Amino acid sequence: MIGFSHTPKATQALLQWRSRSIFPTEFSSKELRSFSRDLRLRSVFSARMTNAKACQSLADIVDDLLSGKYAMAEGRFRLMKVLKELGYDPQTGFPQDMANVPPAEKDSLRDLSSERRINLMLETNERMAANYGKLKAGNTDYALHWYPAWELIRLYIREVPRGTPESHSDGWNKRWLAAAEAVGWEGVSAKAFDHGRMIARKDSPIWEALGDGEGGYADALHNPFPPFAFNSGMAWKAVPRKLCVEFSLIHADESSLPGLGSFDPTEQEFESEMSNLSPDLEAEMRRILAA
Amino acid sequence: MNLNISITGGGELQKWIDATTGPSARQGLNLACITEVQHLTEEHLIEIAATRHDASSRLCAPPSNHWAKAAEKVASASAIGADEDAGTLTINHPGIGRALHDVTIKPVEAKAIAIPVNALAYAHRPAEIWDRYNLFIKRNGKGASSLGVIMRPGPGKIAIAMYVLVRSVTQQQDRSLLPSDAEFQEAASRGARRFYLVVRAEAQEGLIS
Repeated sequence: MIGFSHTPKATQALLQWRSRSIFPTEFSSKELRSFSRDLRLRSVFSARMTNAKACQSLADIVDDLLSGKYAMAEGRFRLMKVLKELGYDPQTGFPQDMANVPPAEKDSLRDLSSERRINLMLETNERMAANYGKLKAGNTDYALHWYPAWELIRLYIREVPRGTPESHSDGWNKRWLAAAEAVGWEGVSAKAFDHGRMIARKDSPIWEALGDGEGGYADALHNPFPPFAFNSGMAWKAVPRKLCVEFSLIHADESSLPGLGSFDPTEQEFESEMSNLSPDLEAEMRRILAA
Repeated sequence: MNLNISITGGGELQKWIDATTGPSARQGLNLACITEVQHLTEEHLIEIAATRHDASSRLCAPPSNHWAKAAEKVASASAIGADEDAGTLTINHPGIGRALHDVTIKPVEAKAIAIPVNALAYAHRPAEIWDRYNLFIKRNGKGASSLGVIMRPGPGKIAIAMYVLVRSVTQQQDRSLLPSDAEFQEAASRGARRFYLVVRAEAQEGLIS
């Protein structure tokens, strides 16, 4: 039976986000990339955001976005308001700031109060928290057996996607190829790539390679889960077992679940399983499972 | 807004599982069912994210990717939970409640709701862009269907409408934002079938007595 309710519940992504500490910093994004992943996943920060109150507001607003309290426009407005109240100026930074932060051009990506920068801060943090939860959920025994791979797909529509002539950048297929070659195609489906799809096993090192910007991409976010680069609109979609077998990513008898290797529960196999039951139990099971 | 989808009612199957493996496996059954519901919902929202851009298309504005975010959140399944009684999928996303009922939006800290009618205004609050475009309000008289219009100066003496101001907005229920009940049932049944196969295989391997 299916039921719907509106009782508030905290998701794992939200709980993980709430466990982070704020980390005001004068470091640039390049310097921050040299920090360990563990530290980055345990902190709330943004390059050159030296003010603790601004950092706390960023954390609170991402919390609200993950909780579904409001949409991006409201979050952006709230952060703009906080920065204004704190007296932030792109040229001089925060008042009484002792940090050595270089002036930023107004409305540029380095201007903390610009629309582009706020969108980037909120969307990147919201997506990283959500996908960290997705990584965890996708690695249970059940998920690994029935959905053993991820596909990299375009989920977010961009005005100028990477790979278009206007973007002056490589597209994700080129980045994928560079990462696949760097890891020797380990756990990566060449067959799928020939069909224009980017599919790899969940345990393939390609995800680390993509996150590390293998191929010389400096915009990488250094996480083995989406978003793999700043402003990327690419995301993960779980790939069903049957398709993974078709794309030669796994053998039909390979499984993380004990004794289940040979099972690919098509209707035919399920029928065969049912026929092994006693007539009473078979009838009962059919009634229950059809409900 | 928050929406929970709960799957319950494997009562007889649970009895069989209790007899085969003990009640502790009930949680596994509910987790399998809700995991399949989650995958179904994610796929559904990915499809919606790719196809539903009515408002932005009408205004020739870039899409807000509102439903793309919902797809990612729902897959972060951490959105799912299961105990011995039920499996639950939680979707924390603004507007998802429309799948079940009409949603009426009223102003909270303002006197009116501003509906964007211009690409530059789409997915922005008026206060965000007020100074940037030198916006001003042109109020309507009594009896008008809207309270007024937020405008920006245009070429010459022409002003350009950016938002229409109204007291509230009601969005009609749109059940197609989520998979149908039948699709949910089918996904949950698939999870139950798969879980059953696992339990049976484990029993065959002697992993459970």
